[in-house]
Amino acid sequence: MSTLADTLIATMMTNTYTVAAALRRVGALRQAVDAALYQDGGDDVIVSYKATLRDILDNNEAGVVMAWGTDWLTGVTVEQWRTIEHDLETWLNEVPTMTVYVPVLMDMAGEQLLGETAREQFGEPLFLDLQVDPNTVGGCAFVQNGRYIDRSLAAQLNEQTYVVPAIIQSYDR
Amino acid sequence: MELTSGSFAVVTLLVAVLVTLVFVVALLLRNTIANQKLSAPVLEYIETKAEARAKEIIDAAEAEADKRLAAVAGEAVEIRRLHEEKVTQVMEELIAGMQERGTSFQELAQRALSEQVNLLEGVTEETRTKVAQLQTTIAAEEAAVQAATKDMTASLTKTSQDVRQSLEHKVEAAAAAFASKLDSYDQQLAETVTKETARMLEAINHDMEGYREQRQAMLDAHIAQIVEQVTKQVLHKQLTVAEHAELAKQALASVKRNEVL
Repeated sequence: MSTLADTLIATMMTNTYTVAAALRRVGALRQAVDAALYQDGGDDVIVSYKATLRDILDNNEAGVVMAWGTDWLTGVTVEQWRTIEHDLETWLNEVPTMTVYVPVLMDMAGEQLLGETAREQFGEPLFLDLQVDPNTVGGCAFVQNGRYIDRSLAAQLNEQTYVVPAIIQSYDR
Repeated sequence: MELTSGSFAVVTLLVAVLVTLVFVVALLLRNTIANQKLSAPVLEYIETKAEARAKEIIDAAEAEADKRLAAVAGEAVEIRRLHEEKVTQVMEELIAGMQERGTSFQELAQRALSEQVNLLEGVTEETRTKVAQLQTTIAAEEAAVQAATKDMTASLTKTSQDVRQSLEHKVEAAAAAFASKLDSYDQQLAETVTKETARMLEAINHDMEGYREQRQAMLDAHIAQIVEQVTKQVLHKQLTVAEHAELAKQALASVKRNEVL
């Protein structure tokens, strides 16, 4: 992998934690870089790149991608860009993914919280594949190395099912 | 009669043959083709002569036949007469013989009858004597039979009385045994009914207990389901996204690394 690609990936991992976000943001980056490198005219590549990002993404998303920096883009030729692009694609296909079932749709802060916890817990750079499942009620369930681990509130309620009826029956007596 | 008819038939046949011959000759003469060799007058002469000759032959044959027939008829009459005489004679002899036999038969019959009568009279007398003896014997035996019957009746009467008494005793004993059996059966039946009732009650209680436990389990599951649904609704409405994220983080953090890796 090229050095520029490594630098870009390392920066990307600091604020991108889910597969969906990574695909969305890398896609926007590719589109913006292509537009900047293939433009007709004298606009600066960086300026054009940023302008295209704002057109494609909302402010938050554009800010996240711009936080990856533009130094890697300075002086990049088309051929170098193609190499970087190829490396990015390869990396995206190979990066570990963990499916996590959550009760509600997470925002960026939630994604960051869960992503950092997962990477710290399992000790590897990975992306989360967040799936919304209201039946989990609270907490989450996830799949890791082919195993389904249920730490949701629904599972805990099922384990404690006898408690509630026992309490009710104690009132009967 | 057979002889007469046979002779008559022979004569008739002879005559017929003769006549036929004559006619055949006449025809032959007529049909002989003398027309080519003889003239018509010659033919007529020949025919006339032939017819005359044929007539003579026929007349002679008829006379002879008549004579023969008359002879045969005479013989037949004579034979018939002789036959009738013979039959008459035989009949007379037969009748005479039968009459003799009849007389002798009558005498024999009378003789036999008188002998039979004598025999019968003797037999009758003997029979009368024997009958009287038999009557005497029968009377004696009848008296004996009556006496024996009287004794038998008396003994039968006594026997039937004894049998009746014995039967009565036996019936009484059987009734007593039957009554005691019935009592024991009643007791056994009561015990059996009691046991069976207890068994059925036990089975019913067991089934009721099982049913109660089953219903209780269903109730428990229903309650748990209701609690879960309420919890889901409560948590969804009251927890924020950040709180949900925190709960999910805690869930992730609760898993030990070695448990997964």
